[in-house]
Formats: sequence, C-alpha cells, structure tokens
Amino acid sequence: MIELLIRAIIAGTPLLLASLGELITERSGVLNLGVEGAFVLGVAAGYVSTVITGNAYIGLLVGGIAGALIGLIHGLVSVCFRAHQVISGLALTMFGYGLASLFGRVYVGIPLPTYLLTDRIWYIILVLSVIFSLVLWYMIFKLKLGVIIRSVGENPYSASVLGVDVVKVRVLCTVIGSFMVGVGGAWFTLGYLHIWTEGLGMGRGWISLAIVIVAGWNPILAPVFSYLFGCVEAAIWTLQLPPYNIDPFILGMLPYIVTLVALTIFMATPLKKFLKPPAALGYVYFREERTV
Amino acid sequence: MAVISITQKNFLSKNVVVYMHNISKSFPGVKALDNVNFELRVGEIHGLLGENGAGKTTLMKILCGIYIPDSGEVYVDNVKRVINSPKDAYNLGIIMVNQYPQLIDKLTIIENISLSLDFIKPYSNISKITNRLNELCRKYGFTLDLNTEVSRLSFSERQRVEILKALILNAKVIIFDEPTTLLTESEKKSLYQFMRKAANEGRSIILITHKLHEALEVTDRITILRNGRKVATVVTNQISHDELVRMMFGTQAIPEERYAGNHISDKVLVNVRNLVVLNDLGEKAVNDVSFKIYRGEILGIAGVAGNGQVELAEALAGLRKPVKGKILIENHDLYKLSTILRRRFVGYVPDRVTQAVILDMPIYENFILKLYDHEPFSKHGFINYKHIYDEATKLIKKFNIFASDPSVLAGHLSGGNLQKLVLAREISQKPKLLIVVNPTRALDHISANRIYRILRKFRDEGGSVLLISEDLEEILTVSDRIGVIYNGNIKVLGLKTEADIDLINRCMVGGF
Amino acid sequence: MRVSFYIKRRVKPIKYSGIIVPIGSIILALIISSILLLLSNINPLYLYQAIASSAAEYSTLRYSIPLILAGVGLAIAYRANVWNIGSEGQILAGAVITTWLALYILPHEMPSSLALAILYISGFIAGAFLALIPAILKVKFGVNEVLSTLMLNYIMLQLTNYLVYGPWRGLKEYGYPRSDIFPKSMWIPQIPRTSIHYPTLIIAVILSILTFILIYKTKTGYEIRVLGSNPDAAKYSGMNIAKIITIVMLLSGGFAGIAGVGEVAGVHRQLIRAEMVSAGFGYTAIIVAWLAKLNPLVIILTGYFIGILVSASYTLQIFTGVSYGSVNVITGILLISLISLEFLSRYKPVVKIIR
Repeated sequence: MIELLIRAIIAGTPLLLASLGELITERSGVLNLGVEGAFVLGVAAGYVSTVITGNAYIGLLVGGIAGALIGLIHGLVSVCFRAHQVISGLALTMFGYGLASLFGRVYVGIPLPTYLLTDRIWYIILVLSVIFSLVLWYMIFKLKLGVIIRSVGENPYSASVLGVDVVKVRVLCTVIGSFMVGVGGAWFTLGYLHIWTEGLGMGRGWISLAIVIVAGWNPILAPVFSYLFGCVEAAIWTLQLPPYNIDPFILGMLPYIVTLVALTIFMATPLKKFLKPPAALGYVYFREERTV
Repeated sequence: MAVISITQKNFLSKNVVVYMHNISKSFPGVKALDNVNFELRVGEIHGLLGENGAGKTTLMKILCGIYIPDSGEVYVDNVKRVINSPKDAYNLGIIMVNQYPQLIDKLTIIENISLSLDFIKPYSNISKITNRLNELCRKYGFTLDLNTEVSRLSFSERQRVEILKALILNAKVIIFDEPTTLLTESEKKSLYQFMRKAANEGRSIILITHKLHEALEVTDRITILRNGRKVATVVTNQISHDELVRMMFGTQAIPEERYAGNHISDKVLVNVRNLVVLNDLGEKAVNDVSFKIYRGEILGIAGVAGNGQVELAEALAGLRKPVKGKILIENHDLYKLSTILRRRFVGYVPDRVTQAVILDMPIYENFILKLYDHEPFSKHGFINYKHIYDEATKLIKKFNIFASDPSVLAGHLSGGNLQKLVLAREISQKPKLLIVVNPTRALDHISANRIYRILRKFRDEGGSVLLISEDLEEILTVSDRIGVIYNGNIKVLGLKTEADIDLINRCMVGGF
Repeated sequence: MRVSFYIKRRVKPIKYSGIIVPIGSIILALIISSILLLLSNINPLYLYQAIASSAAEYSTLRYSIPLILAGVGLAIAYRANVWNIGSEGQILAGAVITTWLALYILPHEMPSSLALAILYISGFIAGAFLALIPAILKVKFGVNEVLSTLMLNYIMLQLTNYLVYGPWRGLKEYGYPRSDIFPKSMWIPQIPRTSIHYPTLIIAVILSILTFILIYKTKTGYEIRVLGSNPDAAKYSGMNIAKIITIVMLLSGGFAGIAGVGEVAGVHRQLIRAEMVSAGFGYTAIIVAWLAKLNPLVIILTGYFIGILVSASYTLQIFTGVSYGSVNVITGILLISLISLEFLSRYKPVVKIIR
C-alpha cells in the first residue's frame, strides 16, 4: 500500500511542476497550448543531457531550458506578434514533438548513468512540493508581483493604463511557466520512468492543462489534483500486474477518461463560479490608438 | 440651484506648473486639437470647458501620456518634458481621475492602487501601504474598506479610489474628467470640497467639464475650447454666464435644438407589463416594469449606466427572455413569436456597436445579419449575394454612409459611419419598434445630429423609437416623451415639453 | 536615453503578401530545419533529396488524401472558432468501425460498390459520433473543446490498440499484431503500383468543393462565419449557436472518419497499430487547414504539398534513421513562420529612441 503511495507521489510531481508553470502563464492571460511540446521536449532534453553529462541535476536544468525555449517562441509570436494563441501553441507542440524525436533518436536504449533517487526521499519531495505550492500561492495573492500578473490576466488594457508593461509581464510569465513545464518533463524520466522512447511523455502536457482548470487557477489546489493523478498512474501500474491482469490498453485510457470527467464535473457544477479563469485568458492584447 | 459657498481663491500665485504649447493632434478624419496653448498655475482649480468633442479630453490625455501629440511641447515646472506613457506622467506628478475609473474589477482597492506605485517593489507584500492609505482616508474623509473587490464599489467610491491613488503618489496636478455626471448632489459637494482642500495644499486641479454652472461654481480660472481650438482663458469671478455661453458656442444661441416635439397618437404599439429580467449573474436587472410606447413617438429613457438599461433593451429586442411579465407588440406576445418575426418587428442598435457588426466582413455581409434567412435574400438555403449587394448599394446612398461601395470592410468605417450602418440596416427592414442605446456616444456633433435626423425621419414615417441614453441632453433633444430608469425601475415622467430638468436629474441619480 | 518599441499598423499590407508570406515561411522553415538537422549530425541534403524525390513521384498523393479530408473538415470547424483538435481520434473511429463491419458484420460476398458505400457512410457516422461528445460537453457545460477532443484522441488510441492487440488480433508478423486482412470486396481500389486509393481521393475533392459552396454561398455557411468572427453578433442576430457548433463538429468529425475508412480499407487493408493508422494525420491536418487560410479549395493544394513533406520524412527515415516523427519539426516551424510573417506583413515594428 505504501508502495503505491510512493509511486503516486513520484508520478504526480512532474504533473505538479508542469501545472504550476502553466498556472503562472495563464494567470497572466496567456494560453500556452505548447505545454505538451514543452513537456515532451523536456523529457528528451533531460534524458539526453543526463546521458551526456552524467549529472541528473544538469538534466533537469537542460529540460527546463528546452521548455523555456518553447515558451519564448510562444511569447514572441502570440504576445509580441499578436498572433492566434491557439495556433501558435499547437505549432509549438508539434515542433517540440519533432525536436524531441530528432535529438533523442540516437539515445533510445542507452540507459541513464544516474537518476534522481526519488524513491528514497519521497516524503521530502511531498513536503517540498506542498511548500512550493504555498509559496506560489503567497506570491500570486499577497505580493505585488502577483497583483501585477493578475492585473494583466484580468484586464490588460486597464493594467497598461495603470503603468504595467503588459507585453513584458506576459512574455516573462510564459517563459518561466514553460521552464517549469520543461523541468517537469525532465523529472518525468529522470525521477520516475528512467527510460526514453519515441514520444515519451505525450499526453501529460494536456493533463497539466486540465489540472490548471480544475484547480481553479489556484496554486493550493494544484497539488491536490496532481497527486490525484499520480494515484491514477499508480493504480494503472498495479492493475496491470497479477493478480489483476487488466489489459494495459484499457488501463491506458484511464488518465484521459478521468481528466475528461473531472473537466465536465468542474464545468457542470457551481464550482466554476468560485474558480473562474482570468478574464482576459486567451485574448490577444492590442495596444493601438482607437477612437471608436 | 443652490449656490454652495466655497471661497474661491483670489488669484495671487503666478507660479506656472504646467505649460502646453502649440499642441496639435489629429485622428483619422478629424483634427481634434489645433495649436492649443494651455497654462496651469500652482494651487489653482482650472476649468477646461467646452462642448462634447471640443478637444478637452484629448488635450488632457496628451498631458497624461495616453496620446502623443502630432506637434507641440509640454513644459512642467518650466522644463520641457516628453510624456510618452502614463508612467512618465506619474513620475512628473500628473495624474488623471478618469471619467469612468480605470480599475481592475477582480482586484481589491489596495491591489489596484499598488499597481501604480513604483516604490512598492514586486517582491514586497502589498499590505505595506495599508496604514498610509487608511491615514489618507481619514484625512480626507473617505470611508473605504481597502480589502473590498472593486467590482462591489459604487461609482463615487471608485472615483475615490482613483483620487486616493493620486494622493498617495503625492500628485502635483490632478485632472478630473467630467467627474460629476454620475454623482448625487451630496457626493458632488464632497468632491468640490476635496478639490478646494487639495488646491489649498498647493496642488493644481484641472476640471474638465461641459457644464457651465459647474465651471462657474468651483474654478479659479476657465479655459474654453471650441472645435479643437482655444477660445480664451478667463478668470472665473470676472466672467458672466452669458459671456461663457457665447465663447463655448460662438455667436449661436443656446445649442439645444430642442424642437417642439410631436403630438402623441393614442395608438399603443408596445405594451410592457410587469417585466422582470435577469442579468448575466442571475440578479434582477429589470424589476417589475410596466410602460407603453405609442405609435409614431420617440420615448426617451434617461439613466445612469448600470441601472438595467442593457437588459431592458435586450429583452425588448427579443434577445433576453424575461423571467416574468409580457412584452406585447401590436398585441402579439414577443416571446411567443418565431425568431424570424421577432427580428422583423424590432430593430436594435446596441450601445457597443461592435456587438451588431462584424468588422472583418464587408458592408453587404453585415447588411444581412438579421435578414439572411428571408426571401429574397436567400432561397432554399442559398444566399443571393447579387441581390444583397444591390440593396446594400442603395442603402449606402440613402443613409449617406461614407464608403465607396458595399465591399468595403466594416472595420474600415469610422465610428460615426459604423453607427449609421447599423441604424440603416435596422431601419431598412422596416421594424415596428426601433430600440437605440446611447446612439451618439463618442461621436462628434455633426455626426450626432445626422443620427438624430434619421431617428426623427423614422418617427415621422410612423415608426416608434425607444431611445435609451446616459446623456440627458440627447434625451431632451430628440424625445417626445421622457422617462427615467433607476435600479431596474422605470418612471415615465411625461411629455418633453413639460419636462422639469431638475426632477429628471434627481430621479436619474437618486431614484423616485 | 531610452529605447521604446511599439507596433504600428501598416497603412497598406505589403504588396503581394498573399504569395510572399506562404512561400517565405516555407523557405524559412526549410532553412531552420536544415540547421537543426546539421546540429544532430545529419546532412540536410538528405532532406532536400527526400523532398525532391517525393515531389517527383505521384505516389505521394497517398498521404495527401487523409490530409485533405481531415483538413477540409477542420476548416469548417475553425471558421466557427470551434477548435476541434480531435481529428486523430475521429480518423481512428472511422477505421475501427470499418474493421468491425468488414471483418465481422458485412457478408463477404457483398457487391463491392455497395460494401464500400456502406463503409464510407459508417466511417462518417463514427467520426461524427465521436465529435458529438465534445460538442455536447461544450454546448451544455461549456467544456473547452480543445481539451475534450484531445482526451478523446488518446482514449480512441488506446481503444484501437486494445482491439488490435486483443480481440481482433489476426496474423502476427514482425512482432506487431494486426487484424485479419479484409475480404477483397471491401478493398478500396488503388491505382496500380501505388497505394493511392482513388475513390477516397475523388470523395475528398468533391467534399472540398461542396464545403467551399457551403461556407461561402449558403445560410449555414454564413452563420458559421459570423459565429467565428464575432460571437456577440451571432447572438444579436438570433442565431442558434448551439446548433452551429454541433453541425461543425459533426461535419469535421465525419470527414475525418472518412479518412480513417480510406486508411484501413484503402491502404493497409487491415487494422494495424493505431499510431500507424492515424500516423499524426489528424494533427498535421491542422497545419494543412491553416496554411490554406481555411479555404477548402486551397486545402487541396496545401494537402498535396504537406503530403510531399510527410512522404519525404518516411524517405528520410530510410536513409538516415531519423524517425518520421521529426517531420513535425518542419511543419511546426512552418506554421510559426507563417503566422509571424503574416503579422509582419500587416504591422511594422517601430523603434523610437528618446533622449
């Protein structure tokens, strides 16, 4: 039983990192559909750099940088260039998939020289994650930095009149958020699966996106849902083995069904009144003089 | 009107704090400011007076860094300054209290104010300024709970938040843009008292207004603008009301072309009975309202924004189903009709005209927004574009819309023309009732009069108009009968010719 | 001294931007991809060689068929601002229903034309049905269709693999399970020596023309365009928004479903691993649609062009061992370049230096 819990925590942590990152991005009003690409790229980059350097922490860093790169392009294109946020994000997801596949192909089958010894220190990880979420919560709701970010996400026009540099805030939040997604991706392999294959990590980015919504864009709820997911993963892993022997593909549907159901429940109940998205999320921000 | 005795400072100090020199500014199609000079002295309350569209707000927006002038310079404390953003203006101590406060609804008062304060670093907790703000509130007599979300504040409270911001930034120059349009009498008094107190402390106040009596009551000096040019700067206690009128409007007499008004027929077109309409949050926006609209009349409903106008207009237009009550048009229950007939009976020109046009589409595709499933514009599911194009061409000519042909994109039309387009479209489908909300907001004088002419013509040809507006001048100019809306309730006060303006004003701001 | 940077609208968009932008983005994409290939120790010349050889052979049309079909469907949905990202799953839905009917339901001796007609129609229905779920969730509860369609992609993927590895497993070659081969009457005919299943291609072109007429000449098309441009205006006009959303989802799902029928009955003639059936067509179709500016007729062209790229990536895999998934690098960059250049053609950056 405790084994399952450990597994749940280890599996849920990359999701937590990714969703906290996307949460910051979305609080500033930017919808980053490139999270999926950033995550998968983070997996590949983390794995490859760990193999090359032999240091898992460098792997985490490189994964983060890879994610930040995706975030930078997305910020540039959708915030500075005012292009369509959805399309920009999807294009970057494809780009991330392709890049991961391109750089990682040589390393398929090469084992990790070292990885994060997460199963020994799982309780430390849990505590750290919760503390991290609380810190983020404090930052977003109590510090001026959080007020700035939220103002840009709720009403960028008023925020700009009040002196906030909307473009700078949005781009920074996108880059930092994507960095965290990339770290989450690196963690996914370095701390959990310890392997790399083509397409590893696909689907997790989308799940983080869903977690942000269901957590109501509130950092305190993010760990709740991330670890819930971790439990689902742990359950899948156990149910595949004897004595249950459930078909792995049927089990593979579970995370996505759970996500879909969670989203529907969230939207269908009064919950969504308390946990509303930032008002300007996804809207392109134009600063032009208009007299009409 | 009671004269409030506030001692107007006799003007002694000659220190100039702001000097704007030869400022010109044009927007596509209109020259807003033409070589305007403006001088502001320390410790004075300086009124900026002019009609709507004279250029007052534009001039001040340049001072605040929201607009950049085409030519001219700005001097602050005798040093030439370049003000390219609101932040630059803040750094110089120049702050504007907007006509509609620019605050972020979901944030609290203290969060909103903290945004503009550079001395709060991003990594500090915003409750740092709580004590300072509470002190200021005590000093100036504001009762505000700093932790309330702005969305819950009244208009006058929001204005105070903006004032607080100016105070905590120790503003040297505070600009008020039409601050009293939405205030009650006692709130106005408090505001004037605050202005005098601030001026006595050495701050300079600029009061943008189009109300003569206000300028005469509270300012030390007045600068009059007309059509983008400065007419004169005068000392308030040395000028008379009539001289001011002449300066504001030229040699014309009082501007309100209040025509005599029509004789109301006694045929009822629209009968609204016990109407209850909810807003998007599920709250009652229109509360048990009953009134009638007669054939061939313009019924004007005056009211401050946020009292249920939008919901009322949408309910009558067939877009928002009331939870109780009936709307009868020629004895047909509006909501028992099909959508097609509903659209046919009622035309609707909403406040935000962008709700009713598609900017990315050409004029002729906007023309059919409500007619696209009627013959002869469409048949068996296919749209007859040739016919539509021809009809649209005729429409452009008939209503004098400034566009070369119907394939011009709606987004390329100016504000006035867009308004005319929507109006034209609605009228061309020959509705029985035409609902217009704030039809001339942000339009200049000439365009506004054109719109009024169109409305009157529609009325003269037998149609009925429900005009809902925040601008009392507009209501008085155009309507036959006048009513007031407040807090979801409507009271029809009677014929325009018998209107008591003070009564109307009081009802608009304080209910009945 | 301070540098301020802002964006100014150009009075007129750059001349010929309709041509320069797409071509410019293609060139940019190729350049950047070449650089990336170099960085992974691969000679970019292989890439150009692969593209050239794919362009020369008309057998690459085989890849264009599902791209055009799915792309046209997506054009309908995206015009209404309904973000159906679920083509991948909808293709699989079509594939699964086809397999089921072909192997287990329809009599094997059925006349071919009748069988194929039934298969195509069922594929459409299956794809449409899968798309109905997110449509209902969006209309009734406001669930974001991006996420719901994505989730269904993965669910369909697992379901398909479950069937292929499990109850429908037939022959076993090369370690990858496959279903039994379809009866001959249910094979979509191909142009000899290629895998171009031309009936599906003809259907794709016809649907593309019909869609063009739908969008630009009919009432429903008008409603779709208004909803996509300005939902407030759609509401103001009294349009039934729920109906429009449902229709566009059904159509886009259905078209993708037909593509699925084509893949299993026209190319493989059996059901194989899900990843190889839909092979990213669903996602690539998004680019096909966007590159064509959502114009159904132009999608025939962009579908053909991207088909060349897809084919080139398989060729590249043979020569260099780079997995075909890396074609996404090119298409991703292509899309990014496209929207960036589009923007730059309408706005110019202005740098102002203030003392």
